[in-house]
Parts: sequence; C-alpha cells; structure tokens
Amino acid sequence: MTLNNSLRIPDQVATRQLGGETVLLNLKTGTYFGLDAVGSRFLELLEQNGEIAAAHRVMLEEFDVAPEVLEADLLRLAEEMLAKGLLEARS
Amino acid sequence: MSSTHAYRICDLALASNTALPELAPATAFGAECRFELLPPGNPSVVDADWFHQWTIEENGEEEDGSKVWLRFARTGDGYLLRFPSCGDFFVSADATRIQCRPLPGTPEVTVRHLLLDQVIPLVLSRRERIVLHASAVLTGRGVIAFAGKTGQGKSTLAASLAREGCSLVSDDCLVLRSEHGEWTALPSYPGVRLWPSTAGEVLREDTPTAEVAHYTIKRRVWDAAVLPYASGPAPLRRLFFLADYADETSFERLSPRRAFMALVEFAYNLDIEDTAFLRRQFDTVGRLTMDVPADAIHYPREFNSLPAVREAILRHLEGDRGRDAE
Repeated sequence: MTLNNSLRIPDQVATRQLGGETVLLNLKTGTYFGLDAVGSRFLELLEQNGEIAAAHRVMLEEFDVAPEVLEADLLRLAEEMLAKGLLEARS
Repeated sequence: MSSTHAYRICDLALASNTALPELAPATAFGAECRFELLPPGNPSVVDADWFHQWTIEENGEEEDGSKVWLRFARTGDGYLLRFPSCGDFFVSADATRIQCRPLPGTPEVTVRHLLLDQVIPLVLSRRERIVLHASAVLTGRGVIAFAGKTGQGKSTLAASLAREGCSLVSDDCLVLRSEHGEWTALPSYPGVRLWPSTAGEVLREDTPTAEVAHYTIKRRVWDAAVLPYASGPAPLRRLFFLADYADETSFERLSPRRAFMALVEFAYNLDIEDTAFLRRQFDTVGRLTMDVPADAIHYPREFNSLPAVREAILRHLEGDRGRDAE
C-alpha cells in the first residue's frame, strides 16, 4: 500500500456520520467499524477523490502533523479497512 | 393446541399451550405469536443451514474453555435454535410461531427460562426497533438502561434501584421504540434473576424467590411488593454501559460513535446474515445514539458500595435537569 493507491467504499458497506465521526458496517461479513473525526475526514476525502495522496495533501493543511506521520497513519488505516472489506481498490 | 393461555411480554401478545407463570395473564387478546411446547424428544435430523453460534466460557469444559450454548440454523420455513444441552426451538420465518422440543429430562422451568429470556428477545428483534441485552429502571427522570456483559452487574444495579424508589422495566431484554426522536422503553415482564448472594444482600432475607433453570443457582425475584414493576412504556433518558471496576463511581460521556459500537454489541439479532435487517438495525442504532446520551459508568462492585453508586447515578441524572433548565 502506498499513497498512490486509489480506494473506494464497496457497495456492501453501509456508512453513517454520527456527530463528526463515522460508523461503517460490512453487510456481507457483519463487521462494524468506527472512525474518529480524523479517520472520518480521511474517508470523506477518499469518497471525493479516491486517491490516498490527495487525502494526504488536504489533511496536511488541516491538521498539525508531520507528513511522514500522517502518511503512516493513513496507510495503516487504509490497510486495516481493506482487510475488513470496508474499502476496496478503485478499478 | 389443547388449551391456550394468553400473556403479554414486552408488547407482544403471546399465546401458549402451556402455563407461563412468570408472565402476567393478558385480558383483551389477539395473539401475535403462538408458543407450543412439544413432547420431549431427541433432536430430529433436519435439513438445516447452521450459520451462527453463541458460546459460553466455562472452566473445565473443552480445551479452549468455551462450549456452545446456542446454535442458529435456517430451515426451510424459519429458524432452528438449538440449545445442545436442553432442546430445540423452532421459530417461523415471520416470527409468529415458536415450538419447543425439549430434550428428555429438561425441566419445564428451564424451557420457560429459555423461551422468555433467550428465544423471545431474538423473536422480538425481528419485530421491534431495537432489542437490547440490558436491564432498565424507571426513575423520576425517565428510564435509564444498563448494558454490559453477563456478570457485570446489570441486574444487581436494577434491583438495587428498584428497592429504593425506582420501578423495574426489564431485567435483560429491553425493547425500545422511537417516534419523532423520542425513544420509549417497553416493560418486558416482572422480576429479575439474581445470584443468591446478591439477592441476600440487595433484598430482605425473607424475599420469596423461585428457580430460574435447572443449570443455574440464580433465583428469580418477581414480587412487585419487593421490586416495583413499571406499569407501562416510558421515555428512555440515558444509556449506561457498565465499565471497569473503580473505587469511586464516575461517568464518562461517550461520543455517538463509541455508543454505537457498544450498542451493536448488545443488540439481539436472530439472523446476523440478513443484510436487509442489518441495514435497518444500523440506521436505527445510529439514530438512537444521536437522540439519547450514553455514559460509561465506572463503579465499585462491593455490595456495601451500592447505596453510594445508586446515589451517584440519580445525582448524575439530576445534573441533566439542571443542564436542561439552563
């Protein structure tokens, strides 16, 4: 997984915003997942563009964080969500 | 059915071919669900699609310390719920019919417990907005619910509050309905199930109790003179999630996301693979977490701390009154 990957939310995943945070449900596996405000912003940006790199650029402007720290956090989150079927590669 | 008994549990009009003395008889009656107790027998071989199971942790059982308590299967016309050590329950797809074939030797009191406290909550989950594994009491500020894992103290807290001016709403099957952002808790049926040590500490020594099931020493306390029971639905004001032990009682407000993730863990669901149901439940739990505040409660578990814990909970609710008035 690198910043060059493009991801999207699969059709079988339901999402809901709750007070600035997000919950997701993979309807195929019954897996629930919660995202805090930062994770929710990442998902919102992925929905708009798909590219992790684009989300990384925007979030660097919005959050007081070092680029390499944010990159590592986003890639780790993306990998976890991919493994749970909550994200999939954009074709 | 040879003879029919009529009852109400939560808001469900239930007909039964056997007496269910734990429930109050219903007067005006149009059965929404029928229960039939079949003669005992060994499990029949049915063409079933086993898709889920509940396990319980027990010392001295299988190698990993857990054993199967309940297995779920789909049959041609509904669901089979198999309690391997007690018997089979068959639930029709539309949740209007329940049959039980107990294993030979399973006492009727155990069948009734499994029906009322395990199967009916699952059946209700097909009909109602939300059915939670939670105890609840009616306070002067509305209903408060306690959700937590088995053994964390839900029933003890509820019984303790009911001894001091509150009314019981549910022991561990709480049905919630919503209308225009207002959530209503429906009383389930009178009584709580307590460990003998808890009953002895929370209640008077001469409080009448009854057997719950042959495999547990828990006792059922149903006497409304001892533990008052809510007479009807009432607004839900607060969800409490029982958290870790602490020397002093404290409350931690949960964000809607954290409350959501906790709630789905305690929501009954007959068919965890029914995607249409899962989607509805996902939306409903989401609305509930936005409408009703939720707190984690950390508190001491010693019996002699219960008065202080009760007082802290009620004072915490009174704090809401102050905030509402501002």
